[in-house]
Amino acid sequence: MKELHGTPSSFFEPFTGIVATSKRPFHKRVDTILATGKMDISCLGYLGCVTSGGKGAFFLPNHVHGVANLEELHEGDIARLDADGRVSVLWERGSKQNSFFLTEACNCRCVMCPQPPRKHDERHVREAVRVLDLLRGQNVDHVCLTGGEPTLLGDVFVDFLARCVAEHPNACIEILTNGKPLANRELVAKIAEVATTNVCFCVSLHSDIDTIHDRIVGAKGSCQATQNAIYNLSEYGIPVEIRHVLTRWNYKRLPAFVDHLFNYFPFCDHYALMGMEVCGLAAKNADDIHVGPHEYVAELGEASRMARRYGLPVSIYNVPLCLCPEEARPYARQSISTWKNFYPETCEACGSKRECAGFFTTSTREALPLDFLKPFPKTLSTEA
Amino acid sequence: MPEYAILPFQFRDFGDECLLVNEAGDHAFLGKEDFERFIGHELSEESEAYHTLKSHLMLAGDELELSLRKLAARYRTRKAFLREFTTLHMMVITLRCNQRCEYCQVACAEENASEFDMSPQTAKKAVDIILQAPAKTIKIEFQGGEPLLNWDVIQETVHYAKEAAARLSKDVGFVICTNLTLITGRQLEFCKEQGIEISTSLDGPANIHDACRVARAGGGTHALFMEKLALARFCLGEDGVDALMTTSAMSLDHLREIVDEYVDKGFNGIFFRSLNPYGFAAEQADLLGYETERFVEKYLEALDYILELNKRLYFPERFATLLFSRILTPFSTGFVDLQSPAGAGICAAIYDYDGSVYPSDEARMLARMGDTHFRLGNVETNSFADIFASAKQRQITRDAVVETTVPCAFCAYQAYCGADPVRNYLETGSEVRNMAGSPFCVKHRLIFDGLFERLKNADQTRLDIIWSWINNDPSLVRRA
Repeated sequence: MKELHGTPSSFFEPFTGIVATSKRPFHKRVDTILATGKMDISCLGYLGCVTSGGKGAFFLPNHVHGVANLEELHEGDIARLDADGRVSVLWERGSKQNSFFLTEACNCRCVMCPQPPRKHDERHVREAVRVLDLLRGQNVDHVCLTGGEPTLLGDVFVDFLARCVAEHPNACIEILTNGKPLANRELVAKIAEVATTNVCFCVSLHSDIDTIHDRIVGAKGSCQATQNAIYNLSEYGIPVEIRHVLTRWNYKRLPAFVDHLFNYFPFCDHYALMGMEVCGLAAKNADDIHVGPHEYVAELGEASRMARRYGLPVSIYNVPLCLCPEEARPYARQSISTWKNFYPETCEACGSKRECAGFFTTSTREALPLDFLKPFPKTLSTEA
Repeated sequence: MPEYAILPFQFRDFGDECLLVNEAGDHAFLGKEDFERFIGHELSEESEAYHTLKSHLMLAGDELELSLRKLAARYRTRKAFLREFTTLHMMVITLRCNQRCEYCQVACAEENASEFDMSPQTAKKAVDIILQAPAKTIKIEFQGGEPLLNWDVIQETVHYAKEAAARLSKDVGFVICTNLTLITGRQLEFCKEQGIEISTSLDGPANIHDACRVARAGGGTHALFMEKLALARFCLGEDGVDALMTTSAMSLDHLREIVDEYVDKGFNGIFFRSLNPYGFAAEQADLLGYETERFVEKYLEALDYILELNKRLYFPERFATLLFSRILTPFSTGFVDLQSPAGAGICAAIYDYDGSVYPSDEARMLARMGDTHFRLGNVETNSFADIFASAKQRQITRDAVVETTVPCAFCAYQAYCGADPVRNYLETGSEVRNMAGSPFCVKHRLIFDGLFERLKNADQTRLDIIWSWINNDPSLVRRA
């Protein structure tokens, strides 16, 4: 999530509103946060303000002042102002990478989790509902529901999804989930009542072998629950994507995993094979769990060959093009959100940088396979 | 000792390894020692063999219930052909033929014997019955004899069936099975207008083709066939004509030349069909027939030749394609001659020129030989229910299930094979028999052996070729 920093005008309660970069008539100021060069009398009536200038008078709305990079706030963005001077951009207008973060609670303890779970806090749902309120009538074409494990919220999750579908019928709605709560058919039945074909459940499955998956996600019985969830969702006609993160504990079985997907999960809409983001627990456990793309070239090549033969709609996420074997390149995507995406210096010389996933800014420096990068002289797309 | 459940599977010896196939047709090869450990419940949970067997659902630990759910789903998927009740309907438009092929399996009639024509009224009644089949998509195949000899009825039937299908919101497609030698430009125009497919027969180069496929007036038909093939392609496009070849004793030693002829004449694949013991083929078995083992040996040789050929150009062998699809994919495949339960009546049915209905082409061949045992009814006097819900049809289907036949139920290839109640009846007087040693079993068992042997030893290029056949996607193979 993009964040800007400044100084709070007072110790105010956090609040969320739509960013305006130019003045609004009075009746349209109530939900609006004005981004302005200076605080003056014309700021009256707004929910709050963010300014690159100095602190405004006491009777003006709550605001954060001294924000250097004010131009990063755009008309129509949705932002939260906190009393510690943080301006968090909860929704970037026009971006395809917006998420609703519904909970920090999770029923897994994945060894590579970038955001280790915490106890559920109602605030997250309230904030998501607030953002959804503010988005009413706006054109939204892509949104992601995530956590934690969002489906742990049960009916609250179903209600939230129902609102997303009803208010943004044309939006692609992705739910990032470990699926476990969806092993319960009753919950899936409720979801099926509100979901359309624009909704896709992106379910993490890290191995075809239960013991390997369960060890990775740190909870026994997970593999079985997750697979039952995929079958439940599919039986109700709800689109499913399977997401598979490559770790040291599962990468050798990647071709066998793809084989298993074709044999027993050929009905899914999409299959994502993902390189690891090395932050949070993944960074802490890196020695044990992390595997670099240069170590699984053979497995990725074999898996890609199989996917091609099987006609499986596969994508490879988070693996730079020059570390993909040739068979894998057609499946490699630019998958990393722009706000945490970067390319090291070596990549400046590369002709294919614009088609390449690059790296996570959030990954630890030691985990990056910098010594193995081989810039392409020309772009690959024109070469083919 | 590790705790695991052994899931239902069949197996077969492959020299240094065992082939294992589970109830839903997923397979894996396993070393002999690992196999012994596996069945002795002695396999270590950390071993690669354990993981392989788990991944292919031959064993299950704590996830037993899930494994059964996955097997059941795959089993359902593979039997999906059962959901569409009777899609293929063959109409014997006439039994007359202008050719008199040595191996003709229906013992065709004289060219002027018009009593063997299907009348327009019978044809309409047949269509009325056909369109009552629950299947959404219906295919009507005009057969013979040579169906072009009764062309007016074909035209009328196509119009009538299209109108009736439109009223019922069904899709109906048509195929004409013809020796092609009588076809005219106007008939081909009609086929093009109406989207009718053409299926024909080519046995190989002139000397082989003409050895069996002779005109009733005498003399070979290859030259005329080639002329008409060119005309048909001119009208319908290069891919507009599909051909079948029938293997007789005259062609068995020349399969490579036949492949070359098919390639040379611009066909994009071949289907090697072995001879069935009906009609003239049965009468002349000494002259035309061959041992099943010898057919398979020659077939597999030809298959290797074709696999090599595919490094240069895309050219599938269609029977191997079908069987590879069954072995390598979890999906259902539609091939009425090799299903379990047998496709007879439930996937396909045939309407003889006189309106009699039979569950398969072979059943009407048998009737032509004088035994109407399999006759289900007649479109003139019987309703759809009379015919397709008849006690006879029920019995045929019930008895033609590989899963409950001896020794098929214990065969490694059970999941890929099928039953042929008509052939069983012809050979033993009963639809059900012990299949061990029967020609049907020998042929399929040996072919499956051959295909698995090839899969076991296949390099990447071979696998790409096989998958290009399965997916009908030439681009899967890199060619120079």
